[in-house]
Amino acid sequence: MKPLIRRFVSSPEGVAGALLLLSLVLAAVLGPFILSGDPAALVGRPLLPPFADASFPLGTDQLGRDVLTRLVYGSQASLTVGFASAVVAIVVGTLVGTVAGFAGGLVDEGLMRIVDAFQIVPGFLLALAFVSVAGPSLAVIVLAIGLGAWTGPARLARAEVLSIRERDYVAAARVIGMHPAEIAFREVLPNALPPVLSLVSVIVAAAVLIEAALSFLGLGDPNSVTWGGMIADGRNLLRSAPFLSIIPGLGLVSAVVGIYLFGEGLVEALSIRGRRL
Amino acid sequence: MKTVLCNVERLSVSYRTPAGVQHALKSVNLDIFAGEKLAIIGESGSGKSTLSLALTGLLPDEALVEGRISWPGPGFDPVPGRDIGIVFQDPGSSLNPVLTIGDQVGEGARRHLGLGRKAAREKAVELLSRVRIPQPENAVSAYPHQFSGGQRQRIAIAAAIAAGPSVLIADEATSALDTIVQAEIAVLLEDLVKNGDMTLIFVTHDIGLAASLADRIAVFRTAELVECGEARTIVHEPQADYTKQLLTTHIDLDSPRLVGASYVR
Amino acid sequence: MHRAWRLTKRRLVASIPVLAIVILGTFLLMELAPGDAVDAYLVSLGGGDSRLADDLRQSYGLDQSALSRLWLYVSSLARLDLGWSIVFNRPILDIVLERLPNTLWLMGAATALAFTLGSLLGILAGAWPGSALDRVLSIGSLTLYAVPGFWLGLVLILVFSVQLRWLPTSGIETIASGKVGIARALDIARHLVLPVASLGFIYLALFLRMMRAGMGEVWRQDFVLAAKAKGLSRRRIVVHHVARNALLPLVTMLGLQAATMLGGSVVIESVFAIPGFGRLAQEAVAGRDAPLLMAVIIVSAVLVIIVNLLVDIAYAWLDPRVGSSEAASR
Repeated sequence: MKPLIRRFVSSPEGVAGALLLLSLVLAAVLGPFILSGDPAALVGRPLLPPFADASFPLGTDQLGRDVLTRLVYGSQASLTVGFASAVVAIVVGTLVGTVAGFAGGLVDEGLMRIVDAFQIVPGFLLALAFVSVAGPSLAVIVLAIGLGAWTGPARLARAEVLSIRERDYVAAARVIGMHPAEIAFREVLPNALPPVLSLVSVIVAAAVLIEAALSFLGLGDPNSVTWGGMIADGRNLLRSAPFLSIIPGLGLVSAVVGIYLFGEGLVEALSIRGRRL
Repeated sequence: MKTVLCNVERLSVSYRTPAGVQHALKSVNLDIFAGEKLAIIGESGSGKSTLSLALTGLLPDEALVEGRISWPGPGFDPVPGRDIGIVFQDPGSSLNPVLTIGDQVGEGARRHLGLGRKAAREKAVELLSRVRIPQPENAVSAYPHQFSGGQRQRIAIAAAIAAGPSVLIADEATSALDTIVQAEIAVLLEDLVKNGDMTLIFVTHDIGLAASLADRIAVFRTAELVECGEARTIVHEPQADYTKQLLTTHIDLDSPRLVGASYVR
Repeated sequence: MHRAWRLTKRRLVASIPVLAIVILGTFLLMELAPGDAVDAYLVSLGGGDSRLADDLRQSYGLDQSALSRLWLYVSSLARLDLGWSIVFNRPILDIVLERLPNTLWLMGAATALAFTLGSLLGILAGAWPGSALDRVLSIGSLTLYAVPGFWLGLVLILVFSVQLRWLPTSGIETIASGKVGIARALDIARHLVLPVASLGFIYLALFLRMMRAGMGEVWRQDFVLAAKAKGLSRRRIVVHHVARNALLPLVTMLGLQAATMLGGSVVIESVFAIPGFGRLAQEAVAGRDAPLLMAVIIVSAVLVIIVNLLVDIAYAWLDPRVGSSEAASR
């Protein structure tokens, strides 16, 4: 664990990303307590520009809601969906990839064709279809994005399993009579995991952006404030109050940049040279 | 009387690493004579390859260099490709996979001899036949992956001498090849150097090869030159203990001789 | 071209089971939706009685079992009948054929922009590693890659349409302008500048970074050292030895990003109100038009398969090792 942390810290990108992400997460978690406001409350004069009034540092929107409060609450949706979707993608992907690689034969073939099928349908379209069928709740969105992103981890896990399968400690486990499923999960899977983890930042970043796009199109969670939704709200006022759409976008960019930088640090920590941007 | 081609004076090459300064060469003094076949032998890490890179002018920018290399023979510093050619160890990676071998053999000639596309192609065919690649007219349009390791090394040699350099450095050029192929390449090098009136510097860890091919041998060990002299002298009357050790371990191993049947020339 | 044909045949055959899974999957997904096309239709009418619903279901074959409906669907797909759109009240095939060219132009131009400009800038950054240019491009591309496409679109509209008034804000051409020929083409081109930029810049950043990373890796290869040893000009080394090899992973990436870019065009077409194929997906969802959504997904899959095939052929042309027994299996 310690060498992992040491390697992570040696990467300036990783540290920068970690700091950025940390501040965003802190803002998302602590913000509601510090700001003590309801993001849906109409608290001020509508369309106040940023920096004009000290009590509304980032201005107000067309309904008079405080932009800063909404920005902070919006980060919750983005970050939650981002990380949760990544977890879904990695769990499902690693499971499927491990089973495919370990079982081999027809099972492998069949599962890989399914992976191919998920890969050729654009992830965003899949999410769109899912949400249209099951309704735009947070859980559905997380599932929808996760199911669009699991193919990468699946392929990676399978490749790792294929190379690990033939190694001595797996043969030894077989000899002592370990059940194949036990071997798969106790010996093989933990070793297949690290390369998959190198994909984490890419998946989280993609998930955040897809969630934002869904919200922008009006298919996000209607019960939460979302950055995509804020951008959509501000769209008709682009001429008169551009800050309404620009500010949440800047939030998205910072979050995603933080995620990417953190990911570079993670790759450094896991010392995996491979699929990087 | 032999003329001095190159004079290496107190040459030191080192690199700054996280673990401190690492010396690749320490204060090396060496003369290279025109037209000779000089073998540079030593184990891994002895600095042999660093010397060949230094002679060619291919040291990386981070290298810290002290001392000097002067070229009294030609009177000017050699231009890589035109005056000095080098063949590397791994034929699998020293050729560009996406360019035809005709392109790669001819580009040195185009650059330094000012040949046009057609003339370079003809020159490439001629060079390929000189290194005994079969059907050179077809080979020029082929790609490196279509050839075996030994053939690729021949192609690399052809590419290195394309512009007609007077010095050829073979940096472990045979080390990655099968024994029989090694012998073929060694013979090829000998022929080319004789016919082209070139100076050959070949780096190797194989004493047998050095003994049979070289006029003089320079022995290196952990960045230092241990001793240098006529091949016969080094092999039969080595001065340094290290050289004696090297020879003993080689004679004890029952490995077949590569080129020539004995050390006597 | 013999190699290309062999590759094409192999890929097409391998794609059939995958496409079958997509069709099956899409069908199953739509089955999960509460209500069916008739319900949606009645909603759009503002209500109707159950007898009308039953009659409609019978005439559309919606009262049959899932399996037989699936069989009906697949057989109509085989005849290139994509079904009937509820929202547009027209055969879906017609709508798709109308809308597809716009999206293809959008994606094609965006890809061309991203690939050529991205690799060029990546080569420049890689030719002078560690330089100020390199650093600027590195930071810039990372930030650009993090930008959401639709937001970039709005920002570009703000700057170029609203503030500078150089370019139009939306649509694919000036409505009722009556332009024809070259004038019309230029008009369309003007309208496409911002959408293409919004879609393409993000992939430009990606290709820039890939090329830069690739250049770094290729520089360390032995054959580059050999090229330097031959005393070749820097230009020849950078272009023919380094860049030509660093280009290969980018071509592969083109194929991998095809699906993502198609997804991206959905949002961009919405932002710029372009009547394209991507936007059909959003319109289908908004109008609860399941047949249309299904058709869009299936056609998208086919598009991605075709693009991947073309990319593979291009790659085989660029890398002489592909198709020979030497090449490692990918």
